[in-house]
This record gives sequence, structure tokens and C-alpha cells, in this order.
Amino acid sequence: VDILEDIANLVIEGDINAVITTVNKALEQDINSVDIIQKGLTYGLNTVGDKFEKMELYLPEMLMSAEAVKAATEIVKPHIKGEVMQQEGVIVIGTVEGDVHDIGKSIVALYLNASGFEVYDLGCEVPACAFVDQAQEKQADIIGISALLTTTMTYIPDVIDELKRRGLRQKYIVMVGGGAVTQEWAGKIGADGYGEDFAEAAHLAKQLMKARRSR
Amino acid sequence: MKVIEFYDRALTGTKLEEREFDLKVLPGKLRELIKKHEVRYKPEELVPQDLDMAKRAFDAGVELLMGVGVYCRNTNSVIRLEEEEVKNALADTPFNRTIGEGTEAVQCYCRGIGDKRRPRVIGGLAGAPVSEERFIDIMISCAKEPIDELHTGAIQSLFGRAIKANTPIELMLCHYEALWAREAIKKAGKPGLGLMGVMSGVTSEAQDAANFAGGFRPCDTHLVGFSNELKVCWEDLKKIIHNQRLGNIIKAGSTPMLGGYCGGPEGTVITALAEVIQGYVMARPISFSLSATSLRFGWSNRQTIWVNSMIALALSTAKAAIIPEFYVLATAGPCTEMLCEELAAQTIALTASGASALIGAPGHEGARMDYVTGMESRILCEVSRAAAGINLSDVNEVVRDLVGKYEEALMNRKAPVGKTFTECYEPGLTPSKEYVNLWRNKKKELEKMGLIFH
Repeated sequence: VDILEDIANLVIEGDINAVITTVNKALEQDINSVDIIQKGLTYGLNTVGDKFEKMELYLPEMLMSAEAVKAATEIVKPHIKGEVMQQEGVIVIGTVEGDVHDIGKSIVALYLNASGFEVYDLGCEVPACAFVDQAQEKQADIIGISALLTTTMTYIPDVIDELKRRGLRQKYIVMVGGGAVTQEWAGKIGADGYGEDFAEAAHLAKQLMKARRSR
Repeated sequence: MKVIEFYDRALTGTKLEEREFDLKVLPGKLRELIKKHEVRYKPEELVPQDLDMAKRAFDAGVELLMGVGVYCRNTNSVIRLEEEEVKNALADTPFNRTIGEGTEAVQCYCRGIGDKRRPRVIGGLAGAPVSEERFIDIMISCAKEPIDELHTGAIQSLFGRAIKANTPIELMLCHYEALWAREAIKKAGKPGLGLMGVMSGVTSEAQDAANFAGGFRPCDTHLVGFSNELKVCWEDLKKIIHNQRLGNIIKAGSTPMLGGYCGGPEGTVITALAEVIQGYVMARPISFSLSATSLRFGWSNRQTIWVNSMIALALSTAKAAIIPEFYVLATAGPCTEMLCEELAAQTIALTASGASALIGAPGHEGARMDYVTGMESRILCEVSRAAAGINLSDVNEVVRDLVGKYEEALMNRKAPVGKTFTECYEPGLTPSKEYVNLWRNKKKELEKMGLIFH
């Protein structure tokens, strides 16, 4: 349907007002609400994600598109009958104790959110127990732990130890990343996954969630 | 301006959520300035040629800093700077201090576009992670090259113990970083070589522990890196206070992220220029060490090369004694053709664009332990010497050809792993025949592209 293509293109342009107007028009035309979300909004946002991963467009543009999709989804939601919209999962994410660097983590958080996850960004200098407390409180699926520096990445295993201490290690998927962290090191400390950057983190989070659901 | 002034302004500044500053204030102002000053990324030009645009970009950088201020992360408030304060700071830069001592002492200098003098080379580890077992050897291998200063790296353990920020072991490691760095330059026969650090600790207290008789000297350079983008925190101010109190030479620095809050190449250039000025106003540094990098594709992709070259051009055309130093890093590992090409492409572009100094150059974007050797410092020295004096208009094709050789591997994340220091160097700390021959052959290719190695 042309109007769904229009919605996708407007999402790519990040034009929030035009997205909302066109989504309303589509609803008036009795276009299936799930199609509006999947073939219009989500398709547009996935295209934006692909472009962001290739650095053909950048974070501010990606966020404008994500904001447009979020606002339009709220309008469509009440029209969905019977079908349950599946969310990718819930993530709590933060930078470890002692590390004030959080631009990388924040970008990962924003991208995960744009990719369909419910994300709770705990900020930087987060103590190990706070990761676990927040994961429990938010009923998270994934705990994302970041450290930029080699002197702070040594705090990452503390979060895993805290999970073990409380008997919760199997309850959560633990993903790690940040400038100092490598795949080998992530394996060594017993993390479930490592993302080199925001794009890898999002793909991996989806894979790990899929694997968990199929268990 | 005194640090206490920034402290006071942080306490009384307008309150603002950090997320609001990152996602609304900065991108909004950048959109306005990109349009107003007509800063346009030209993908066909890896090394920008438009000097008028470079001047406009500098003006946009000043306007950005004036417009959004500097965000203080501890108080969640904005520190405002006045135009007069910026002018005064840029008119009174302490650029003429001597780095290092004795026969190894060097002076900073501002290079111009197409300058015949090669940029200073700050060889070494550029902050890359290094094992405590290899630190001294790698530092010696770099110091033996004809570099002007030696950058330390982040040592990963101390006497077998893991390092944690905010602990006694972090502080002790910074002490040892300085001690071992001095040992390395002595063993290399260059005891006066200026050192750049401190990289093994993150807190101001730990970094200050590197300053002692037998450790970091006032003639070494002490890096104060500000947070992205256009931010400051108490730790930054504490580092400035420590170093000013001791009469140390300060280098300010930042790592603007292409693709992040500042958006694309145009926004990254303007943000980086604003951060350079921020650094000069807040820290009174001898120079500014820039490390603009892509969120996904490191330092050697065409967008980042354009960004860094444009920053160098803009600062070369600015009427101020600003000394920009650029980090040069490779995505591939040492002893690979791709690493040689990545370093050569960046070095040629930056040298022609007027960069005052080059810093580097570890492999794996400075993220993997012991993937750095003296050979990369040699590559920077030799290529920058060969590229010095070449016209800006003549380097574009060379850089484009070089990027074309590795671009596919870079964008598809298939850069070769390469070799660690111990695989690249013989026991007597001489580079392996394999690496030497690889570089010799690569130089022949570069000669065919028009470079003349002296």
C-alpha cells in the first residue's frame, strides 16, 4: 500500500509531524494497524538503523526517526485488536563504578531503544549492586555493562560476581562492551555476549533474546 | 582564566539535564551553524581543499562554544564563556615552552598548510593497553625511532595484580608508569626525551602520583582529556590544578565522535574546533591533542580523514598560536599492509593540511594489548617527512588511492589482526625482517604514488 511506503519514508526523513498526520490518515482509511506498525513505522526505522550502522546518517537523525515512531506507535496501539505487540526485551545498562565515560554506552542504549528494546540507562559510575538491584526492579532480561578504560573494566566481573552471590546469574543475560573490553576478555569473565559497538550490541541482544525464548 | 572561575560558574550556571544538552541543545545549535556557515562535507574530497570553508568552520566552532557553553557533569549545569575570554586565551597560549630536556629537548611549532617542516611525531603507545612485561621494551622500541616525544600507554597490571580505578593499586601503577617510562628512555639512549601521559590511571590523584623526582618531570607533557562533547567534570579541573601547581606542561585533549551527538562530518568538525577552544580557555595547554574518530569505522575511513584534515586546515587558517596534535591509529594490526596504508593515508592528509604534530600509532584502534611497536612510530616519522611540503591539491589522489586499498576490509570489519610486539621484534629489540621488508615494499609503492623518502 502506498501510504505505508509514505509512512516509512517519512520515518526515514525523521519528520515527526508528517509521520503522525500520515498514520492518522492510514487509520482513517482502515489500513490494518499491525501493517502500519510493521510495514510502515518499523520498516522505516529499520532502514534508518541500517543507514546509521553504515554511518550514512547519524545519531541525531536516528533519534528523530525513533521519536517519530514512538509517538506514532502510541496513536496506533489502541487500534490493535487481538494481536500482542512483541517487545524485543528489557535491558538495564550502565557504565561501571569509577568510570565517567558514558558516550559509547549512551549511544548503545539509544540504539537498543530504537531497535525495539525497553531500555533503562543507569548512567555512569554504577556500583555492581545497583546493576543487579535495577535489573530486579525493572524485571530486565539483559544487563548491559560498559567500561571505556582498562582500569575500570576490572569492575565488570564484580557485577557478575554479585549476580552469582545472589543466585541470579542464570536469570539474566549479561552483555559487556566498551573501549577496553575485547571478545576474549568477555569470554574469560563469563559474560554471555560482547558487542564491539552499538550495531553489534543490538544484533547480539536480539540473537540472545531469541535463543532465550526458544529455550 | 583561573580554574576557580570555572568552578564558580559551574555552581551558579543554568541547570540542564545532560540528556537535554546531548540530544537537543548541541545538535540543534549545530544544525543552525552548519547552515549559517555553509560547512559541507564533500565525499569526493578526502582532503578538503576549500580554505574559505575552513575559516567558516572555525568561526562556527567559536559560535558553538559561545552558544551552548561547556556542560559540567557534576553540577548538571552550563558554564558560559565570554567572547573576550576566548580571544584572550587564544592570544596568550604558552606554546613556546620546551618539551623534554638536554639534547632531546624540542619546541612546539605551528605548521601551515603545505609546510615544508614535518609535523612533530609523538611516537609510542598513544594510550593503548600494554602488559607490564612488555611496557619497557615497547617504549624502548619507539624511543629508538626519530620521534620528538614519547607517549605512554595503559599498563594492564602491577606485579600481577589487576588494576582498579580509585584504589591504591591504580595510584601505585601511575607511579610505576612514570618510573618505567624514564627507565625506557634511558635505556634507549635518549634520557631527555619528553614523555606524554599519564595513561594507566583515571583519577586525578593517581595521575598526580606520576609526578616525582625520577618520574614525570615538569618538562614532560600531562594530558587532560575533556569528556565528549563540550563537557567538563571535577576530575578534569583537579588534573589542571595539580599540573598548574607543579608548573607542569599541560596538553588538553578530546575525542569528538563522528556519528554521535555532533552528527555527521560537518557537525564533528565544528564540535571539535569548539572543544579545542574550550581546552585553551580552561586548561592553558601548550597544545591540543585531538582524536576525532568514527563511531563504527575508526580513524582511517574517508569521513574521519576529511574531518581531521578539515580541523587541521581550520586551525592553520586561524589567527592564533594553536598547536593541534592528531592521533593516528590503525584498525588493522601491526606488520600488515593495511596498517601501513592506513597510517600513510592519515599522515599524508594531516601533514598537507597543516597538522602540528602526529601522535601514534597503535593497531586495533588502540584497544588490544601489545598490538603496538616502534615500527609504527617509524612509519609516522618517514611518511610525514616525505609528505611535508607537498601541496594540498596534490595529496587528494594519493590519499584516495591508499584508502581504496583497504576500504573494503575496513567497512566490512575484516581488517587483518596482524602481530603482537613480541612477534614483530627480535630479542635485541630490533624489528623483524618480515616487518622491515613489508614496510620497505610499501614505501616503494608510495614512491610510485609520488612520495619522496629522504
